[in-house]
Amino acid sequence: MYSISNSNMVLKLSELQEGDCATIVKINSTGSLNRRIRDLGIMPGEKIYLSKFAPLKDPMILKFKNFDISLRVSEAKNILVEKIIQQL
Amino acid sequence: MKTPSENEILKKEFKVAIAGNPNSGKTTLFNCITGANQHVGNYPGVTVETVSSTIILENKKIELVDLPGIYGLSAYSEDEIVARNFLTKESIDLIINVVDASNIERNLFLTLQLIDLNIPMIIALNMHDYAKKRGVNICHTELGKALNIPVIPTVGRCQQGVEKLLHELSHQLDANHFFVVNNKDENSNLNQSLDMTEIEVLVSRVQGYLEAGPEKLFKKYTQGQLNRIVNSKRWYAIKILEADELLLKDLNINDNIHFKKTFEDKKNLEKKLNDTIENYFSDSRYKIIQQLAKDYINYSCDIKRTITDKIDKYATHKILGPIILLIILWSIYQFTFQASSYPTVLLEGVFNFLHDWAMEIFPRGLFQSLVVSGIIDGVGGVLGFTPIIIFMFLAISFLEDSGYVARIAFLLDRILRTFGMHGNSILAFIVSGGIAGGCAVPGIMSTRTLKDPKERLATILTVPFMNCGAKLPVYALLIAAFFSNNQGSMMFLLTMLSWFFALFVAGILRTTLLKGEATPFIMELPPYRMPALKSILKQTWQRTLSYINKAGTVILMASMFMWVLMTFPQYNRDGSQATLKETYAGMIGSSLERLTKPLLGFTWETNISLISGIAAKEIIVSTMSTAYSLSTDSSQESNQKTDKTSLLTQELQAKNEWTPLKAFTLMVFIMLYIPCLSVLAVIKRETNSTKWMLFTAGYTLVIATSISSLIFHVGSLF
Repeated sequence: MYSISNSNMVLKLSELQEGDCATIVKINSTGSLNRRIRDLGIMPGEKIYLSKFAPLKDPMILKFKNFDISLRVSEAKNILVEKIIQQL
Repeated sequence: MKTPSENEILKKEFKVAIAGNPNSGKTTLFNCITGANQHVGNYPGVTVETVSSTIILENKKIELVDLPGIYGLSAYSEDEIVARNFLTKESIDLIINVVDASNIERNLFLTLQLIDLNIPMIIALNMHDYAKKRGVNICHTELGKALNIPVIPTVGRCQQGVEKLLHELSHQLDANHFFVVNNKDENSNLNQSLDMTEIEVLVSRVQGYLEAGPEKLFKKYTQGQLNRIVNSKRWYAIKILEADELLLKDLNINDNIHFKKTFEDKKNLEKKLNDTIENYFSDSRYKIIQQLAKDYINYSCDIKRTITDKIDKYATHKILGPIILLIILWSIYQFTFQASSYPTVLLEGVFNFLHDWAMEIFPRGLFQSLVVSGIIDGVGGVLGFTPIIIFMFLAISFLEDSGYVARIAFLLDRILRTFGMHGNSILAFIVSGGIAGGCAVPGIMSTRTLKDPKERLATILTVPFMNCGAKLPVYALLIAAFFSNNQGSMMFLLTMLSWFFALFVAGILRTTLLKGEATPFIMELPPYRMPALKSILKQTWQRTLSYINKAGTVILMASMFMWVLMTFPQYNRDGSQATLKETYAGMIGSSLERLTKPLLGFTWETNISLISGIAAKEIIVSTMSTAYSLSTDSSQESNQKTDKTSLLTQELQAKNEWTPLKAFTLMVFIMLYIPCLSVLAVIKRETNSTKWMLFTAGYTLVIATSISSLIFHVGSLF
């Protein structure tokens, strides 16, 4: 199964900054939100890129695989991610 | 391989479903094959009812059904339920799964679920040219072999691949393949984890129960539907274990000990795995997809930034985004009114001509009066509007098909959410008259894509507050008469007010009567696309038709009915000719005056006009002009219609009892009060209940009266 890394780089998707790349670690949502998230292919192990936040800081746009997904901050709170730091 | 029964061998008629993700180019492909023009739904998904067309292919009669786009077989909004029900309950011979090649992994998620249905399939790998540009290269033949399904690359706009697709379709139908396309058996190397094995045991068990006696478990199903259950038992078994709400509603397992035991085992298994069976299935599907991607899909590093990315740099920009939105909405407003002005004048001319012609050829009297005032003027009032409606709908269709509406929802979601609504609702409000001009009838119909029934209902109940095309003539009249120096600003104010009331009331509804959780917003922002002229025209035509239909039916009846009320009785008790005030309409208006005058400052003429407005708001102006200037005698000589309107303007200005305050009060009242009969009828149809229709009529009247009364009294203090 998936091991949650012990580094302190695991945070909520909603806490990322614009331009961050991250790997999905765990999805804690339930019900239809959960189903919808999974239907779109967002799953532990996948990489996402946080493109931007809306003018009122909510919702946000993610680049995922080859498409753009928009979701609310409240929905992003349920998704735990690990930030990918670019190695120089 | 199961051999087909005798009936099936002889079958020459087939039913084929076309299923795929939203924005996969499904409908364009469908149009291409059938040659028909169906609307291409982009955001939020406009193909709501199934659209079908029959083709003849090599001596076979095939009914092709284009289903609404879906991401998976768990149903969300109404259109997704429609698609799922069709795929799981109808007797289908084959599924054409349209897959968007540039998003292939996500699209395969649906494909794997469709495979569980155990129905013959062909995959149309669509838009593969666009995929190549985005660096996605797919070994489609090998992929097809791995899935045991033919994969045909296509490009939707009637270019490559369609012939080959049809050829394959014919071949598959001929072969009558009833193969068991079951990844579990054939690709078992993809699912070796112990956890899946335990789950599969449960699945087999439920499959057994389903096969043994489906009619006992699904009591209300027809024989055809029961056959589908047995044929697609794997899908049904999985869905039951996932506790799919829709399916559990139909399932009858109250006394079934076997099921009870199975569900207990499921609960224990879920505890042991620390996750739900549903998540396990979705995870396992994506694992299969990852494997397939590794083997057959090649992502090149060199992905050029697409036009969509370039546009979105500005369209969803924090500052530029809202500015661009305002500019676009303003441009639509301008476009609509400029483009329609000439046709409107032409149409008015036509009706004026008809009016004069009828006055000449029909002898003076009741019949002439009926034809002229009742029919021509009344219906002309509605049809005269049609150019504005047409251009407004054209502009909206263009927006929808281009993909921009998704960005609007993104920009406005935070605001709409404060009122308990969803970014998706925005389209319904815009179509109903958010930019001044529109119609609530197609607006309400477009709420079908809203998932949550409560959000949908809140939207349906508040779109009537929008300034639809029918309200504009009254506004135009009153503004010209009393606010001639500030016409633009007044219209703007009225537009802002309508949005304010709609959202505010929706918010209240969402915290009281229609209280509930907010539904998921998460959605895909589709790539921008140049809308196809044919589909915009078709969509516009369909929406305009709903609007024009009013004229042919409700408004015609209503105009004639109002004419009756305003003409009879012709003579008073004492034998003298009745003035308008002494007709039935006048009597009703006058008796209401006791209430309306102190509350709202409305006299009997206004009252009659407002009552006529319940039939259709367009009639308000013509009723008013009949009531005022040219009270009784519609057969007066110089009764040109254009003269009538400007005469009315002068008449109102001249009357002492009319003030700007009263005009404003009236406009707000018209904005908020009972919607027209056509809208009430659509509300009844879309909510499937008379209760909500009556509620709308009642509560809008209450709100209109309260607010207008407030304005009137507070305004009088100054």
